[in-house]
Amino acid sequence: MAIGRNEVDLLRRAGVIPVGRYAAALAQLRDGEFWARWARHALLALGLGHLLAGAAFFFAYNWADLPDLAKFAVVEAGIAVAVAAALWRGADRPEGAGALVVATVLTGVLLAVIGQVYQTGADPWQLFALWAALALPWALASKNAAHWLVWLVVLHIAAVLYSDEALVQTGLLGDLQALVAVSLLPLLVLAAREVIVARGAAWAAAGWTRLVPGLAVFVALAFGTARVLLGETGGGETPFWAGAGLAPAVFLAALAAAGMVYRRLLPSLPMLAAAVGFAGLFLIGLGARVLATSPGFDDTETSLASLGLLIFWSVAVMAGAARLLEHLRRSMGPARG
Amino acid sequence: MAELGSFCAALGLDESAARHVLDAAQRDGRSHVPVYIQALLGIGAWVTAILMVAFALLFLDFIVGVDLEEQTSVAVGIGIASFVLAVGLRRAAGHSAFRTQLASALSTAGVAIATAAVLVETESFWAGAAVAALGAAAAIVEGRDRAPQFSAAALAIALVFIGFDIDSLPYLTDIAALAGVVGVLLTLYPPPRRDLAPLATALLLALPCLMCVADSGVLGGIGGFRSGEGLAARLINAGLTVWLLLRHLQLAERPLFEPATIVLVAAILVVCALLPPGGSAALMLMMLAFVIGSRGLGAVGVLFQIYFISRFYYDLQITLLEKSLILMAVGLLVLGAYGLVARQQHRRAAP
Repeated sequence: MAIGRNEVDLLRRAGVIPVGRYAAALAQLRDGEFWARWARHALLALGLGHLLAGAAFFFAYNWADLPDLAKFAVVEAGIAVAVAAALWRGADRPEGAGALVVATVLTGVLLAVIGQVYQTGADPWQLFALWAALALPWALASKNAAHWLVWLVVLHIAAVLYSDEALVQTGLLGDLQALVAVSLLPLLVLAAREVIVARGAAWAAAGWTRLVPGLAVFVALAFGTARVLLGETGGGETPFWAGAGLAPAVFLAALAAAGMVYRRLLPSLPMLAAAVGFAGLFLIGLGARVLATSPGFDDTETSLASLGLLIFWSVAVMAGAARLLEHLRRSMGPARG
Repeated sequence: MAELGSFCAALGLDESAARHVLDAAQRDGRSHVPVYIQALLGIGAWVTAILMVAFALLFLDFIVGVDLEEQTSVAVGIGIASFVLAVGLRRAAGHSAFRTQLASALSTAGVAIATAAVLVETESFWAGAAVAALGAAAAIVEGRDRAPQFSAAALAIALVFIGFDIDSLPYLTDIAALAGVVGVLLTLYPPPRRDLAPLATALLLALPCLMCVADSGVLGGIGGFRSGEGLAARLINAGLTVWLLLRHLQLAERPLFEPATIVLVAAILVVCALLPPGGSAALMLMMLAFVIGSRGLGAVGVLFQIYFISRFYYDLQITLLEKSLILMAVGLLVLGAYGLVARQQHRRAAP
């Protein structure tokens, strides 16, 4: 019989494990290899983090007095040292990947310094897009999921800024349309992740590399859908299906697609749980919207009736979600992803 | 994970008694719902619980004619009723994850309503803290759900801190560090028959959370020598971290006073002296996570450490140059510790 932390706590509370032996019991469960690796990685990351922060503070202190050439030299020297460290230790090792992350971050700093010194007048989205383009070779070289996360954050910031500055503010797209468009980027990332993992890229196979882009898609589309449920209509002459209706439609399609893919093709209980959870919240929100129309919340009696109905609806939806998740958990068994 | 037979043999436990307890728990149907499913259902349960409380308040205020702003006892009664309803739901919950989460939300809401009512009536954060502490005690005695115990304990601690701040009582940082000591002891030496892990967690997080909201006055000067505030907190965190390291070596049956250990202890003392109290508290959390093998606590410690590095920028008590030197010194020390640990592990792994 395999036992974990919960079982050890049960045995302690039942008096089988004496109080003085509890710490020793936890030590027995501990995965020594994992924690040895964790300790090394944590010390390396924190050491580098403190050192880099200290260096950044030092240059911030002296920044105004530094000549422009010295500013460029400092940042570019940092990039060169980081790349040299990655070549020396190997890009596939944690130290090498960490060095390449440092090179990625300093690339952004260099572009900011260029913008500050030369007053180029570039739009912020251009800065981030150029940063992503220049840092792409480092990400391709490192084959490290954490590094790719840093790069993807830069790329997504560029996409969000572009959609706002170049599409929404110029009137090419509405707010909600732009939100849906930007939501497709993490969807592409998720699809790419599934493809490369299927082709054997073990470095990208950790569970969080699927969950993070998946949740990003759901959260973005849920935000747009919530705005529609709260009464945003998209405005103008745009038809409902292309305006305010687009976010809920794409949201529901994404949930349905996630349900099919992660139930049949690539079994993953965490992704299904996320999809079911967001679907439940959508149904509760939809119920609130319907009840706000009739009976409504205008006076005391109708408010009480609406609240009462909403409570029943919420309980029914969440109880249904719980049953569905329990059914999925039992039916998927070990193949849960 | 471990296999029951070898686990009991290693600790000298009665395997048949252990098997009996675990089999009984399985028959009770205590299935292990993954934490992310619990979190999802928890969100829905909280939404439902808030709607239920809003319904009850609206019903009382408009239909029965109770003026809640003036009748503290009624509000406290609603809080207690909510807690009692939750206890009943938990007993009837069985396998239902949603009912369990709903019960958590209702009991937490009940404690919050009673605490808020007393606080508003008495205008005293100490009185509110006492009510929240009673709620935590009730959750400990009932012992079926961790979330209400954690939230009531956290609320009581937060109200005590606010009381300290409003009454301008000194040494708040150091008292928060002492809460961490109690948290560590409760984690490693929990009392028999009771589950106090949520209370221990709230105590462990007290100092780091306080440092997130406190002003720069409690961050202290370099090593705390420029002002007294926070010096004891640093010493307490350093002492705890060293003790945890030695405890780990003891549990792993390794010699306590090797040269590498002495160097690590020295590094811990210097790093804790240099870092603000929040940073040394985060370091202590990471060490505790390492000793007990708790990934969640480890992640929390790392996140706090990252936060306090950035927060350090806003410390007004020392110059940017001094801050940069402190951070670089800490970085070099930690990298030195990394090299030492990596070499030790490599030597141990070599045939």
